[in-house]
Amino acid sequence: MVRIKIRTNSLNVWYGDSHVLQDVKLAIPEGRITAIIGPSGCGKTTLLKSLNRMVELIEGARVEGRVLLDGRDIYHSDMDPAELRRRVGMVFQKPNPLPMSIYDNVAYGLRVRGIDDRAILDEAVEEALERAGLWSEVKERLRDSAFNLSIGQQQRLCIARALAVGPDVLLLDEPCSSLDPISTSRIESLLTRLKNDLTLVIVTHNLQQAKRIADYTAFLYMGRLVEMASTEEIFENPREELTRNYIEGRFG
Amino acid sequence: MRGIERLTPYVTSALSLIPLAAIIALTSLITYHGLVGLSWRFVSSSILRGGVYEAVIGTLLLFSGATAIAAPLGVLAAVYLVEYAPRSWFTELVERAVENLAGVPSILYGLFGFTLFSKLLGFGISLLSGWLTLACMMLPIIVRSSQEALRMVPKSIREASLALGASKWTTITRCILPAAAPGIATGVILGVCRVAGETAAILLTSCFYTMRGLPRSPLDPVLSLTYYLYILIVAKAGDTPLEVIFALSLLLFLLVVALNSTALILRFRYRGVKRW
Ligand SMILES: Nc1ncnc2c1ncn2[C@@H]1O[C@H](COP(=O)(O)OP(=O)(O)O)[C@@H](O)[C@H]1O
Ligand SMILES: [Mg+2]
Repeated sequence: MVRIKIRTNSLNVWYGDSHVLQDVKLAIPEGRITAIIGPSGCGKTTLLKSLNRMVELIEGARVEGRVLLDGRDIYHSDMDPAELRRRVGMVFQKPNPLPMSIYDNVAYGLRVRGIDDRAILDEAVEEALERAGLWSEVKERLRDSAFNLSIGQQQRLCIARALAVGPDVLLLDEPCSSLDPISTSRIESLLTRLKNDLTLVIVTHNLQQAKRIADYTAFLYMGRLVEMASTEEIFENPREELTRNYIEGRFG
Repeated sequence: MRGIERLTPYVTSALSLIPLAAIIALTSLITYHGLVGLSWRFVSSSILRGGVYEAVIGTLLLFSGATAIAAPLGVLAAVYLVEYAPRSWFTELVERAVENLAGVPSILYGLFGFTLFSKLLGFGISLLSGWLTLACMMLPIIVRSSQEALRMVPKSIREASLALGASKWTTITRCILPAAAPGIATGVILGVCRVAGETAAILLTSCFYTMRGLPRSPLDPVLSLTYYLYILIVAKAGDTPLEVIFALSLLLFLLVVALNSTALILRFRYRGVKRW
């Protein structure tokens, strides 16, 4: 039996009057890759952002219900959102390097925690870039602007940056949607390697990608979790008719 | 109808030549007459010896002091309005007010500064009153351009920083302000441009005709290029050789053109560089 890292209980999210997540009950297993699939607008990004409270930054957003990280409610008032986001990192759909050098991007998360020791930063930056499979490509030009990297490299930089602060969980929102097939497969193999010491949740539009890398898959439809099971079960033998229709490409 | 339509491009392009012609006429007039008297000696010798030294230094003192007051205040106000203020009728009102303040005639700022700083607060006719009055004039422009620059920073940068565990304030100081810096700098220079040719506000708050030498403290009055020019034209008409008046005009003109060009170049480079 795998341990559950994150559990949501009757999670509801509204944007103003529109009810975009309804009673979502989800269990994310530790040290595995969980994919969230579903047609566009069904609430995948919202669900992901509810897991590290990034959703609170969206104007008009309201969250009800519970999200437990290692059994602790992340919406409880004693949970510091900044601290939470160091434990639950996030990679966005469009690579979003900060307007600074490659090195400074990776060191950013440590610096804002007050770590300024050069030796510690150097080591952490190298390790994170190494883990993201980017070190050999950028080690000669750490001082270059992050915008000089290709889009695929920028996305791996964003992963490295998230890894540098030492999270337990990494949330990825369609991380490959703006990338070419080669960069995509690089990121996929990278994620498969990372699950040895991380819990990964990936939103994807690409069913083949979910099939290739995810251990578990959750199907979300119109703000509701239709079903979640092992990827094999979802793709070979889904319990719900709706899931089957979606997998077979009859809508969305 | 068709005839008018066909004529429109010619008429409008002819009309657009009018301002161009005016600028050329003004520039050549001032340059032609001004070059005769403008020299390093003219700029660097005292008013008592036919130069404008005190007015040059006074102008620099006025600008730099007003900028030092208005720039940090304006940027902080913009940060508050863009990043912290809740969207409400009150914020809306403040923003509208800022917009309208930018267009208020400078004589009203002068009157306001004179009443509040010189009289009520007792700073008298002084450099300090001038600083505060000019700062008030610059503020709306700095606030507005800084707001614009802050709003142009993409949301993805905020998200990136916050998702790495940075606080909101850290995100602002480490990511958003640096990203907006060129736009903010342009705004500050535009603010200086607004007061560069200022006469009315200074006249009422900071200058005495009889002022000689440089101010020894912020509570002393001061001379500025614009004010001195005004005096030469109005009070000492006839006494002053025309070439001195034009030399002074040219100096002022060059100063304003230099400031405006700096703002323009900054703005241009800011647009030209893709940073995200
Ligand atoms: N900032 C927002 N304000 C209001 N509604 C939003 C906002 N962002 C997304 N929505 C709406 O919420 C629903 C879920 O959006 P999202 O979570 O982005 O879906 P997905 O990632 O699956 O495409 C959609 O109907 C979308 O239109
Ligand atoms: Mg989405």
